Amino acid sequence: MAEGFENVVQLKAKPEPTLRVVERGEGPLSEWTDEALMLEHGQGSEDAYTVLVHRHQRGVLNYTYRMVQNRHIAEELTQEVFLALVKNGARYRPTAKFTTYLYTIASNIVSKEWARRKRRPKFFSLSSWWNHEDDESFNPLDHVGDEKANVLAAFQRGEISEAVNEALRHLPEHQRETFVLRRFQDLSYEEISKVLEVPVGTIKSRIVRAERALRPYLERYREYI
Amino acid sequence: MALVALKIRNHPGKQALLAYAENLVDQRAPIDRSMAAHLSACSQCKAEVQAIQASLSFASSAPELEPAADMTASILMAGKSARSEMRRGATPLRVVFKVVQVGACAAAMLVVTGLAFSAFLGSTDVEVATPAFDRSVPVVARQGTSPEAMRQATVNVAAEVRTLSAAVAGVHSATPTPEALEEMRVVQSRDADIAAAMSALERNPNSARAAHVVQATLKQQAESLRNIYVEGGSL
Repeated sequence: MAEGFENVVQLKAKPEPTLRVVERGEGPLSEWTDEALMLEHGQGSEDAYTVLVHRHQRGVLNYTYRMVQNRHIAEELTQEVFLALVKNGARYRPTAKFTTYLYTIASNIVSKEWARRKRRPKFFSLSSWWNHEDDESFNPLDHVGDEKANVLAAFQRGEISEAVNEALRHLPEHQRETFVLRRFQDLSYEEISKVLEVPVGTIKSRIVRAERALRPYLERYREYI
Repeated sequence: MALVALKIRNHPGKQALLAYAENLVDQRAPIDRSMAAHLSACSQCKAEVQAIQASLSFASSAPELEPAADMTASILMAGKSARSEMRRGATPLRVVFKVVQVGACAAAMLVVTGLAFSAFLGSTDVEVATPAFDRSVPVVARQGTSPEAMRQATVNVAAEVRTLSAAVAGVHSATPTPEALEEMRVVQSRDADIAAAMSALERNPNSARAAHVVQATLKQQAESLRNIYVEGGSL
């Protein structure tokens, strides 16, 4: 080391992401890879975009639905995700799998949605019914022990999906997101790690915790099948 | 015997058990033989794997939503509009127009808020919030619906919700029935839906669909409040 530079802290430069080799597709667009379609879409191909929408709208819709648990809102967010693909199409570089790119966008949009919700106060609070007006954190429904009625009601509506949603509501946001990406969107730990920008070990740990937290709720629902 | 004892003493970590259970559910990779050998000798880990497997299988059995045809059409349409917008680019004149448009929209929001939500949210019978909604109701017309008709429809449903919420808040009970509790849960979870719908409308003030969602969600809320009120005797 040159004299006088002993105390200089050497910063690790962030490695440039490696570009994946993407061959231009051949044959009908429906047989092209996602990455080739996205590059084609970046060149202005509406047909490539249409194929991508048809291929991935279901996955994105279900991801946003599990996260926000409202179909109307999930549809709005899904539209936002695909709109972002249009706006960023020309800048797209295949540094990772397309689904990683897609769910990174979706995750950001869902996060913004949550942030908006947190800023918004409750529309109609039920707290006044329990005379807890002074305690803003008091949620009367958290204090109701009649979980069985809740389970029955969910199944009376005949929806396992609703039951799973009900269970997911008990997870913190970061655990819910990790669990949904893994279990419902079928992403690998490495992909989830890139989407959420946290180490793979953290992702694994979150999945373990999420499963442990969900288990009692899912068990209760399972008993009614 | 000594080998079995060793196998049982070295319990795999939680992440390893989860990975093994995930593989049993998803069947993506061959079974890990050393783990299988451990599980055959260790009832504790075996029970844990079975519990994880049951949870994951149940979660995976939840049916997926199917995208509605109109959602696909609206995604493609929005993409097409955005693309042609980008092709045209934002000239200075277009930027000025955009600013005027946003200003006009904001003014319209205030008018509608005054008409529809100020009284609606001003109720003292129910704990309600005002500031975040003061700018969240743009005037949007669905295709074939005039802005005035849309505004009036919003005013009507808002007034209905206001009346019902005030009526419901007047009924107190320390021991509500399970049916009433379930309905109240619905009302509360719909609070978030209404906020989210407002938020979506705020982001897309020109979206007739977003405006429709706001109205539809308010109508659902009115329906739930009505149900609670009807069961008021048992509340």
